Amino acid sequence: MRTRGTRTVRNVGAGVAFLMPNLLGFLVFTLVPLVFSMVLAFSNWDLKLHNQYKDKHIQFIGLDNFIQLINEPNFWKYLGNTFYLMMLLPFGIAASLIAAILLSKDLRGGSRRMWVSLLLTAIMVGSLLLLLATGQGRSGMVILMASLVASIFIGGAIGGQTIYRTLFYIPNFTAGVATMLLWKHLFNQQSGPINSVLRGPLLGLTDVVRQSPSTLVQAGLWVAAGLIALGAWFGFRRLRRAWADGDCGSSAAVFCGLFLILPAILAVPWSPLPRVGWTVLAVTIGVAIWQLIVAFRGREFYGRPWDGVGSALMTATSLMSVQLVMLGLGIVCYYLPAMAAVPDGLTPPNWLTDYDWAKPAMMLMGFWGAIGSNNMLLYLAALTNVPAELYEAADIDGASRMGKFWNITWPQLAPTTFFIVVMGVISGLQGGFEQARVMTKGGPAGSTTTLSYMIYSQGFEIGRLGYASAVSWMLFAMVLVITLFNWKFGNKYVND
Amino acid sequence: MKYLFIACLVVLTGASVLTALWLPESRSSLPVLYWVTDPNPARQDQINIFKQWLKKNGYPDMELRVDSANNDQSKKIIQGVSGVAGDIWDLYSNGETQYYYEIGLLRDVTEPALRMGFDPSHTWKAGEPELMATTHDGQLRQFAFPCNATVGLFLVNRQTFRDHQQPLPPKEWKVDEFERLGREYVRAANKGLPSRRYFYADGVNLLTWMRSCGVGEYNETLTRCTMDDPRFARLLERWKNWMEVDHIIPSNADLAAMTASGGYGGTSPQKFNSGEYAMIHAGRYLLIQMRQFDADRKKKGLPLLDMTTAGLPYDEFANVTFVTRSAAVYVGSKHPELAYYFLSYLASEDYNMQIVRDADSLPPNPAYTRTEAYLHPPDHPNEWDVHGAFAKAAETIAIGNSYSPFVLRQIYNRELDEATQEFLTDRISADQAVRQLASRLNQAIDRTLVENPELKPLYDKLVKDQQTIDSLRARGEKVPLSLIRDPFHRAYYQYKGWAQ
Repeated sequence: MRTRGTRTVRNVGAGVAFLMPNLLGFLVFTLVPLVFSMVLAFSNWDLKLHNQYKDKHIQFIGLDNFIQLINEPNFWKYLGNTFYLMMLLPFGIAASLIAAILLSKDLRGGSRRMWVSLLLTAIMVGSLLLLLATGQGRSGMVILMASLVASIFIGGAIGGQTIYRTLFYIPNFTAGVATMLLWKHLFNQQSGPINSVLRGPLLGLTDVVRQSPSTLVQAGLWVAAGLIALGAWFGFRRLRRAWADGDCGSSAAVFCGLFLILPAILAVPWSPLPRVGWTVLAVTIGVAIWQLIVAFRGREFYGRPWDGVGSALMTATSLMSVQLVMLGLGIVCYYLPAMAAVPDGLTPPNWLTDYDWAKPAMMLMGFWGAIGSNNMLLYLAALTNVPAELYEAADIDGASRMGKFWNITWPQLAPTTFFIVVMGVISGLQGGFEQARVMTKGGPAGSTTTLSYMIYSQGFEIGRLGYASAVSWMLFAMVLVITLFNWKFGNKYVND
Repeated sequence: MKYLFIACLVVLTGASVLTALWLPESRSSLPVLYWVTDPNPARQDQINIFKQWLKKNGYPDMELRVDSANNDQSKKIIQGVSGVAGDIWDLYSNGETQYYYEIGLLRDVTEPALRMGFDPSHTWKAGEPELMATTHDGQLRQFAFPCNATVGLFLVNRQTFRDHQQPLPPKEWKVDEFERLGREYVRAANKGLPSRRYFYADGVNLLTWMRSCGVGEYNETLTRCTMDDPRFARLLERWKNWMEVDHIIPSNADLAAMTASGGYGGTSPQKFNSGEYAMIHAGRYLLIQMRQFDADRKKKGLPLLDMTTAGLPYDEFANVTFVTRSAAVYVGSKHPELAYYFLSYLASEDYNMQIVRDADSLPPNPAYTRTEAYLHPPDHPNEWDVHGAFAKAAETIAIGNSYSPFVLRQIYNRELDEATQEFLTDRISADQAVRQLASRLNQAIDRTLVENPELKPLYDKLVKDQQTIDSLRARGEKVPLSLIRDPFHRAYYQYKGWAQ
């Protein structure tokens, strides 16, 4: 008995000893700093006043840091920047999903695909030779790009999915700072490849705009308004169908519907032509009413009021982002004739030094990274788990490709999407520091400063550790609330 | 498995012991001091000369090592408050002396400086704000001594002006003349080119220009920001026009588009050498890079850079801003007495002449700028028209930075950058920008007083002094200089004849 007891104690001791390095590391480097930072958030710890060489004591100041934070205009500006950059999230998820779907197809050659790839390679090489022969392809960039595309085609024809999956995942292998420096050069206003590519088409567009009646170009605003209304119609229809199927509760549907109306509301003050804004608002409200009328005909299944709000919210906010982009493009169309009329015509943007372009530039880089991110790998794995029988049944029913996607693939991927959204929201709220530090130093005029950059600046540049901790915990509170919301509503839908 | 575990523990413990034994402190029989500075190769020469200087003077020997990995401000603060920072710190003209003093990280060297010959009388008068900090009882105490000093002038490439058949800039000029000549220059230089390539200068110093209009960053006692002055707003508008309408100087977008960023001093020296900038706003330290260009030019059989200087354009009050790279002793140093020898060395002839030879800005002691070695370095005859101008400007019209004890320089920099950027990107008007800037800095002053009530007595005393100054000025009477804290106002009052 004693022997067995001693052995048990020894075994437990050995187990604890094995666990101790990890536990100690967690306690010393994670848990203690975490608790400490929470205490700090309610203190006035300022390195200037409180350190081992000063005799002043740190004082508990209650909620003063938080009150000061809420009253600081820059906090709201940086929070706005953080949310603005998070608008990338739905686009990034869509891009990684599309990449995953494409990469889940069998691309290996040996048949017609091989010959298509080789033919495309031959065309690329031929074009390159032609450019060189006509003296237009002397730049290293043209040769490099053409060679790269050719090798990708050949690689794809030989290696199939493996080659493409590796290529798509490359951004994740590259060190963040190196990638950011690379993008900084890509965004260079005069010599960057992005603007080099844009310059030609913009010059062409300048000619087209100058030669076209300005009312025709400005009609782009109406087209955008139509697309906003179309987006609203698509969204409301999906919400109504989800509601009818019992996938979405009544309260959830109404709440998410508001997001679909928001772009139309914003179009009223933002649109350069007020009648466009009012028209799109009227049409959107009309669409909503029409869907409500259809909905009143009855529903097949019933759910609780807030059922499926996570999924519905994701759909609605994604569509809202697209609608807002449309609105922006429409406004650009309206001003295009005036922009083209200046002597230089339409010129590529000053990506990182223009207040209005710096954030979109960051988002563009983030979008590139999102395509081949871990999200793509997660979707790839999830796609292999979708039962083939579902597709077979859908084929027998004569479902279209889009029908199969919306009714089989997308619902089956819901748990993965939920996980990606939760992680994306968390990293989005915490992110933006490295990009801002490396590429813009938070400028111009604070347009790329996010909350994480503010924490660094307050803590390590100004030395206000208590205040910086308060910002951190405010950020944590936001992450927690949004994550709880996701778990409460999104997770329920996923598990259903 | 447990044996493997124990083996790992033993190996790690052994490695730790070996690492401890391998530390320079353990291997050297001499006391080891760390100098937190930049990775300039000249530092090793300076250390070698320091060793010889110690020996020559019979001072105690020591091992001085360069620590260039921890020169970043945030690292200095974190390591400093943790008690593990290097012994000697390089401080830059960004309010670092006052800031580190406030944190309590610098050793007061007032007494050893007098004893060992590195008090402020051994260096430039304008450098005082970089060496001294205001204590809470209002005294000025010394915490550093310059490693070198810098004033900015326009370095002029004469050949570029000849190439474009444009007149050379005068040695001294007003803002209007700069603008007129600049417009003519860029028109002539860029004629027939598809895009702008040539600029008159790489930029202008806003602070110097603002001071030349009679506007300071703070009031006379450094208790209130005074940049919400319409003259500063008009200046900002003109500055923007120079970048975006006249293209006399490059805009932020032009700068971001420039690819030649390699080499010492960044893009400007490269563009100066290539002729794209006719002038650059530079300190003498940029001659280090120019000498490298000259070496390349010699190899290629090209003529050396033909250089001269021009003063910075001014409105009514000619001035230049005086900055330094200074050395200070960390309060937690284990060998403060030895570190004082290093500061004493910075005031010595051996060190000063090394700076003179290397052209690493102005030597700490102005006396060495009057030597032939400084004025006419035999190996660089193309610089003979340059060295004297920097020394003369530093001695005659240089003014140090204004550091309010109630506003961190970091906050000042951030707010200034934000306000000017918001103006440049058309978010706000120039008048709004200057009002925003002053309002935010004044809020920062108020917040400092709430967070650090110990400063309140000093603040109240200075506010009283300010009221005295204001009433004297209102009556048209002269003001005692002892009441004026701000270096700009001290110089400006003397220039205007308002000082007693």
